[in-house]
Amino acid sequence: MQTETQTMPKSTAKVSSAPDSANLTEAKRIFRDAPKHYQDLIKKIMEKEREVMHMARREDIHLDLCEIIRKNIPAKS
Amino acid sequence: MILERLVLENFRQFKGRQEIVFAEPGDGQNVTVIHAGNGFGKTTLLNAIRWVLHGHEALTEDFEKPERILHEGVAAKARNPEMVEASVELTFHHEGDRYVATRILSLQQQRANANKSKLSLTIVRDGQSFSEPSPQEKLRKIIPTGIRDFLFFNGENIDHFAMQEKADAVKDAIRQMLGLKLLDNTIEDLLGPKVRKVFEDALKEETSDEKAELIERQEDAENQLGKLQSDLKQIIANIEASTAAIRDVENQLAANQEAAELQARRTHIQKEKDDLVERKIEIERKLSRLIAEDGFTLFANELVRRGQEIMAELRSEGKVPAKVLKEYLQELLDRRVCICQRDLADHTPHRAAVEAKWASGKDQAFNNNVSKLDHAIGLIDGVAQKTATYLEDLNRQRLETSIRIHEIDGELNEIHGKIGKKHSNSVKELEGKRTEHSLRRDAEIAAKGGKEKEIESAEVEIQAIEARIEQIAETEEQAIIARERVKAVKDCAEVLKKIRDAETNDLRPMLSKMISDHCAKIINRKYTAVLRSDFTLGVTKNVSQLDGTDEEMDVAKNTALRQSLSLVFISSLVYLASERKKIPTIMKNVSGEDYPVVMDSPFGALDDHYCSRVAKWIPALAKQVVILVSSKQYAGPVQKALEEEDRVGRNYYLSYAGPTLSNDMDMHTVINGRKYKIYETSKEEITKIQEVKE
Repeated sequence: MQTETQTMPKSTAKVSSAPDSANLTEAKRIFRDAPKHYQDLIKKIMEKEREVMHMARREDIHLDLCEIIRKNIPAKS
Repeated sequence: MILERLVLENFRQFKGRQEIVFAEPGDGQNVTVIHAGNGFGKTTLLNAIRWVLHGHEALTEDFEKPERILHEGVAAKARNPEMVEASVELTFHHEGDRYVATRILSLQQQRANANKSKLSLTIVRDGQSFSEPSPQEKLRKIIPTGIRDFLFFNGENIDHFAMQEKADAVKDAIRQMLGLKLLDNTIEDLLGPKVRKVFEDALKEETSDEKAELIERQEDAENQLGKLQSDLKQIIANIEASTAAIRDVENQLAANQEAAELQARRTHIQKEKDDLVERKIEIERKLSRLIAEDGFTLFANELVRRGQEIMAELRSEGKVPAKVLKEYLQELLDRRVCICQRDLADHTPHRAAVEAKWASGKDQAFNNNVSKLDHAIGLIDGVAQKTATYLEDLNRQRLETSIRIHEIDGELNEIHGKIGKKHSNSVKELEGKRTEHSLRRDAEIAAKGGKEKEIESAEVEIQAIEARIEQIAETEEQAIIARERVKAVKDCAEVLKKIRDAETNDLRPMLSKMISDHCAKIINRKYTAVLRSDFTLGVTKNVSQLDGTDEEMDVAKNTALRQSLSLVFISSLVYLASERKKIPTIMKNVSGEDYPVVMDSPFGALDDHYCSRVAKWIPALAKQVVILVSSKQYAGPVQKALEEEDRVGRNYYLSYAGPTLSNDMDMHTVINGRKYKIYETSKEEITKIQEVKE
């Protein structure tokens, strides 16, 4: 199988460099500042959202999100 | 997504099975050039890629007779319409997997409804093939609809990306390509009626009457808040639209010889006014805070003076501070010996005298409070003086700012009058339009202020209800869980909103800088391209003012400039999307990808300078480029730039055969110095894909 290469463009054609990662920690900081159980919940929700992101119809996403939240905060038996 | 191979079978004029293998990024030769004369099939090839990915809805507007996909000759001779088909097969790799997408349309289906073709998608992973059960959804995931037009486009029709009316499409594409759309969707889903409401209803069922009522009120207030926010969004959009319209009109005035000088002056002082208005708001904010926090001290002079007098009087009478403290008297009583050595035994007159002193005596706390009171009176006095000075200073600043704003308003009116009196009807008309847009914008700005106040009140009300709900003791376990779930939905949505805002704030200036850098390389160093905060594209250039300073002014963009700017924007977007993977983000889900850029006739409206620059820089920015081009457009600066950079990995040309050939048509074309036959007579129309021999 052919593998995708990540070779950058030819050296003669210099382009703007990728942004410094140190400048982009705000979103990460916000996420890290959130309580741990919210971090887990957000990750699960986003994973589910990504699965259906480009679907023309996304009817079931709401049911799936409710289910994720119920599982994350379960009822006491 | 990196394209590997395209196979057409009876797709429009491409009769039989024909294929193109694309140049891939690996060794830097990432450009595939397909040479073709007008009408040979460049647009058809572009549409073949769009069709296989997204079906009929993706066909471009200039793709004539979209209901006829199957080769006409093949269709005419078909005996069994079920067995005759047109197909496009696209092989590409994406995120480490290879995909083969195949879309088929039988003649029978074409006659019934050409929109309904059959799509299949095979995924090859670790040497094994899997059939994707939802091929269209998967393909939309790989190439979202919103960015399709930025990747596979007709170069002659892309100048509109640099125009205001495309701002929404541009904004949407940026958000999709950078992964921000995922955050938008998630927030909307969480707060929508099908998630949050579900848990709120559950909470109502599990809770007390009082709380249920409060939750209902909270729900109403939140609905009201949602409506207000949506109204505000619309008002902001209207303001942006009016601002853009004013900017457009002003650009046209700036380009008009008769009005240029006055317009330049107007732009200059309008900017000064905007800054002053902002400053005035800040001054007024400081004033409000000063009055709210320390304003009372200005009215406390009399009280402070009286307090100081009372304290002085008490001091002179020896009442403050207390000289003999209660603690000391207690010690004497406990020791039963007075300071004068008299016996303080029980029931003695001396003890009774000391006990009486103890009862009316003051303790250390009293003396501490006396000190505090002295200090507070002194402090209030000091603050009052400082407040008076600061207040005077702020008022002076506010007055000066107001005067200058008033002066500018006068000058702006004067300029408006002068432009309005110009002889040229077009100038008058433009000025009239500007006035209309300005009035509309002023009305919207006023409405915005009112709406913001309403939102603030609604938020205060919601907070009060929430606080009351918190106060009510929750005993039922299920109600606690229901409440936790509602809270989790809201809190997570809030975190996601903050993340989205942070990422937007970080990425937009970054993309703007890239566009600006790439604009300097591709277009001209005199121009500066920016992606504004409303995600519209702008090009400015420095114009010398009468006072010798330089002023940045919007450039009235011509077609060539708009087209080049659109290409700069597209390649910057594709480049950033690729680089996005390297930017730390909260999780893998919000990440960018590699995308190809397939351009049909991108050099038509460009002069030699732009052609050369575009040909040099676009392949440096996009991972993979496919250029569909006429030999005439290719020869010269485009070819030179691509050869200098050694970019071309694959080279094809299209040859055409048809029953009626134009007499003045050249039967041959020359590519890289070699002559190729491209035109011949045939009973039916056929375009053939041929590889250029090296």
